[in-house]
Amino acid sequence: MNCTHFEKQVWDYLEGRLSASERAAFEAHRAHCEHCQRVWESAQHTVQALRRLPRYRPAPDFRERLQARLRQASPKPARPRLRLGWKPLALAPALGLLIAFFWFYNEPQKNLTNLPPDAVGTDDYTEMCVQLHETLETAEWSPTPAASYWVNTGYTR
Amino acid sequence: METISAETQLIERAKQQDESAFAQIVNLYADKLYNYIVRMLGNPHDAEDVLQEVFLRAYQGLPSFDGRASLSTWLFRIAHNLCIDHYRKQERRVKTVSIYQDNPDEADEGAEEWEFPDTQTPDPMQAVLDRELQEVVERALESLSPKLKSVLLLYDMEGLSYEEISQSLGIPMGTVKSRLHLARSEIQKKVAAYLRGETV
Ligand SMILES: [Zn+2]
Repeated sequence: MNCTHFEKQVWDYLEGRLSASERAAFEAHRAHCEHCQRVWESAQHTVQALRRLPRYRPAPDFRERLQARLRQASPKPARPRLRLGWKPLALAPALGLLIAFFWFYNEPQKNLTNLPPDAVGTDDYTEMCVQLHETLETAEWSPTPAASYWVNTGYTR
Repeated sequence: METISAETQLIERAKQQDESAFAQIVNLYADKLYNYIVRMLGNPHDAEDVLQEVFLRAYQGLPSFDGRASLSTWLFRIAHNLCIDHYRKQERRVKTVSIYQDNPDEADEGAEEWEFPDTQTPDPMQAVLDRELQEVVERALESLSPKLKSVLLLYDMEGLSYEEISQSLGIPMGTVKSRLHLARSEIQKKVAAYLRGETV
């Protein structure tokens, strides 16, 4: 055991995560190393102080204000819906194009057969992407993302 | 096991739009989440708004909550994401202010002093030392990056396990552990300096 090793293990020691032999080596080093004795003391103080930090509590009338806000909130629509706002609206076409590109380049065979006939022959990439986008939009395609998706993206359902 | 099934029942009732069940969820988690938010933001000014937003999103997202994570993990995840959003907005605001405002002091006008709740210690001398040490730790905590601070708060203040933190923050367990060690070591350096009698 050297000082670097000691410093690495100090938190695990404090939480009782070391094995009996590791603990013994740790304590033996601490007994004869002044530097690590100080490391040990400051680590102890740190953890104690962190655990004793004062806690903050919301104002007593917080629950009333929340209640009022929840009543205004629309009660959970059944299907995913965009919230009104410029950001998501502006992102939607970009997202569509991205999905279109991804789909097109990953599974060209499968998807080309699903496209309207006039989408295949074109050299104009933009036009092709727009058509792909439209095809995807009208396709039967209903993903069921995880809860965190709706939360993170601000979508509601 | 009993706790888990009680929580599942509560969630199921809340999903059926049972208002009292959702109120119970609020009662169970409001204090914990508020403390986390205040400490993540570094002040209580916007904490209530953020907390309201957490519950609003939880209320709206509950039908798709699948119970794979615990309710607590899920709520902390929402709270954490909103805190990070808040950080980003603050960063943008500070940048805008520094570019367009002649008087930079006005950028800090929202950051007034806030009071520390009293902690009880019987020995007055010890109380002074504890208080000083606590202030050292408070300042050290505030100076941590959001990445380190979040892990430290969830572990040392809120008592979440490595696994729960990993789920809340969406980072691997190994990262949780290394960030926790790093965060504590940052604070420990300042505590050590204080114990040596240096001004921190
Ligand atoms: Zn040593």
